[in-house]
Amino acid sequence: MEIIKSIIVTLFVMIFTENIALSRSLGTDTIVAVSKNRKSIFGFSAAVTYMCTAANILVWLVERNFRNAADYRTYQPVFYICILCVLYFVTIMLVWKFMGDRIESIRKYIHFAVFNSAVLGTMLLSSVDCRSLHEYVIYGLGSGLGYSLALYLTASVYDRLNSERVPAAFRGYPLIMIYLGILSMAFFGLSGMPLGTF
Amino acid sequence: MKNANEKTDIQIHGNILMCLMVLLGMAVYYYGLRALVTAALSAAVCVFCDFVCVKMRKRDVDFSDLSSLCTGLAIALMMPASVPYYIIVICGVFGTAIVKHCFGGHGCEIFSPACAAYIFAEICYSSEVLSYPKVFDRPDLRSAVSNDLFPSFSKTMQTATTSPVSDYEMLIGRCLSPMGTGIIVLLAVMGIYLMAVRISSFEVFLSQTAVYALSALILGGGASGIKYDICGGMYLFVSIFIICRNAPKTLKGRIIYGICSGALIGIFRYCALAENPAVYAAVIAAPVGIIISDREAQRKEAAADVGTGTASGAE
Amino acid sequence: MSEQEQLREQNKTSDYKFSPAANFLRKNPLLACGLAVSPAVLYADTLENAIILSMFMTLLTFLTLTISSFIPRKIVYTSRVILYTLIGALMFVPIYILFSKIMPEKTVSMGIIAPLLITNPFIVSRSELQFFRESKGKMFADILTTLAGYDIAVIIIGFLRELLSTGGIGGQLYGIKYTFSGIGYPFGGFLAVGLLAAAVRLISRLVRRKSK
Repeated sequence: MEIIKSIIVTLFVMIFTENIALSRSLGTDTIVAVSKNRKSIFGFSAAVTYMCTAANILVWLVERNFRNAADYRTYQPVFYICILCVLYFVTIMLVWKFMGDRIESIRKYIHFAVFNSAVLGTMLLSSVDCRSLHEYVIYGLGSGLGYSLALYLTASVYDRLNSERVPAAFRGYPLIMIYLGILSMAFFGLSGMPLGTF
Repeated sequence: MKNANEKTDIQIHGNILMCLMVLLGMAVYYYGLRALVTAALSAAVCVFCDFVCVKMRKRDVDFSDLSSLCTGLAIALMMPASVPYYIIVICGVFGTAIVKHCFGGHGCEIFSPACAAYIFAEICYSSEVLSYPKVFDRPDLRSAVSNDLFPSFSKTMQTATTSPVSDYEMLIGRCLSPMGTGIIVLLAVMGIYLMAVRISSFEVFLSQTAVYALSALILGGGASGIKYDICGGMYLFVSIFIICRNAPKTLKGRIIYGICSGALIGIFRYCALAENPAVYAAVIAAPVGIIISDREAQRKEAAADVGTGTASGAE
Repeated sequence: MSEQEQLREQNKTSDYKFSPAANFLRKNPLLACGLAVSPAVLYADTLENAIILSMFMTLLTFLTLTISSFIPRKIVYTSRVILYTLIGALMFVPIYILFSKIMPEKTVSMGIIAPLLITNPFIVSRSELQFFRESKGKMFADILTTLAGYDIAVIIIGFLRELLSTGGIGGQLYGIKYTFSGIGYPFGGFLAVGLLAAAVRLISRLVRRKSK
């Protein structure tokens, strides 16, 4: 019962209070790029959530064995990039095996979903906040779901942000940034203080 | 058709303006001339900024558009009577230029300019915006007041076990709160009136309040604090004038929107301990309302195409 | 056909047009194309931080792309991208150690921002879409001007955010009476990038109109 409660609380915190995109401003490049195409939101969100969760499991393995090593913090990104590369390769192989003919259309989304500041940011932040495997998994899952929420909220209003009535100088990318800024400002009220980089 | 729409817009904002003026009148009674000066300044800044932005966009000024006046009054009524004038100016410019005109002007806003401007001011100038003078302790007209300022009634009730004011005083607004959002009796009358004339949505209000009350029971630890949560934290003001105003068209949409906004207010109130949870929830719920409205419009279009026998194009 | 000839053929048929001067304004990577927004929003809240961020980004990206440009195009795309990021990670270590020696406190304060730069879009996507399709000379010019455009944008954002949020630069106050402390927070970064991006678009339109 306590574990279920802590899972719900952690998920809630990761989706709302410490939303990876709106509170920590990570992964916004891909939000801007992917929100143009509403059809790909669900698939891309699922891909990012999967990457965050799977990568965090591997991070747990690495942290277990190397956390206390000398100069680990300097070499930590190398380990994490290796994890991302392994995940990317494995995912591409799985997609090729099970969805062979669609790989060309899906490949760039996997590419964006893996090499994404939201995924790498989740891995780096979870190494500070988490200790046990289930904490890493829930952190990754919550992070992915929080990213998906931000992407959905942006993609759903993309037509309005790009409409003819918007002044030409603001149409598209500038207005998306202002939109994310105002949403981020409201989410700031949830955390009440700026979330540091460590 | 265009004239009917314009009249409808004037009617809507005219009614809202009338309600806000009544609240302003009460604020002047409680806080003196400063309330009037603050409101006048806020309205003037919003209208002027709106005029400048319309001219910069090379459009015709629509003198029947009362929305900027309503925004100005709403900003003033959400502030303490002691708020420095420069904050009012900044709020007015931020709300009108950035939150309204960057998104396309009147009718295209995603967020409420008043709510977004208030949040911006609260974050940037929290000590000035979240400190309140006592009722009848009339602040002077200088920008920086010399009166003693105190935390709000909502903030006090987050930690206090008993209320510092009686229920009667709370209902008539004689407690530490923003100028126009603490007068519960008047707000209730305004709310009933606006819902009766179908400017504010009763369905949204009901579903939102039900979910908020439920969150108070589950997260807040009991029913005893519900009345303070409903009467404080700008809940009634923001619900009636902002959240319920921008409701989707269908009943199902309104109920869903109300549930989402109620849940958000509960989250902000009990998990984030925000002093004015409704304002934050109004901003986050705004895109949710738009998503629901857009889906309704798409379904209506698809149904109309099926009805006329034409095959509608792919999405 | 040699690789250079293949590249020339690809360039002829691709939509991409080599125009390094546009990287400063019309095609500014941060303010027009929305690339690497997160570090600018999160870390460039003061002029000093913006300069450090731009230095780290430029050094890491330039070295990574220079070495990655020698990876033959015969290798399959999936493996090429993996190699680019691995090279980026390997380049990160000496650069991080160098920065730790020169400015240890600031390097620690960068936190996760520094490692996040390894997967920046210049390395991960722009390399394949733009830089590596050009001849070596044009590629270096393009990379340097792109990074310069990004750095200038980040520095301007850091300068403006610090000025508006604190009323001064580097602790030196300039007598600005009204400040907006919120601009120093991440949401302020989003607003600053958005407003600056709109300003850049307006300016580039005016410049294009005048040149016509």
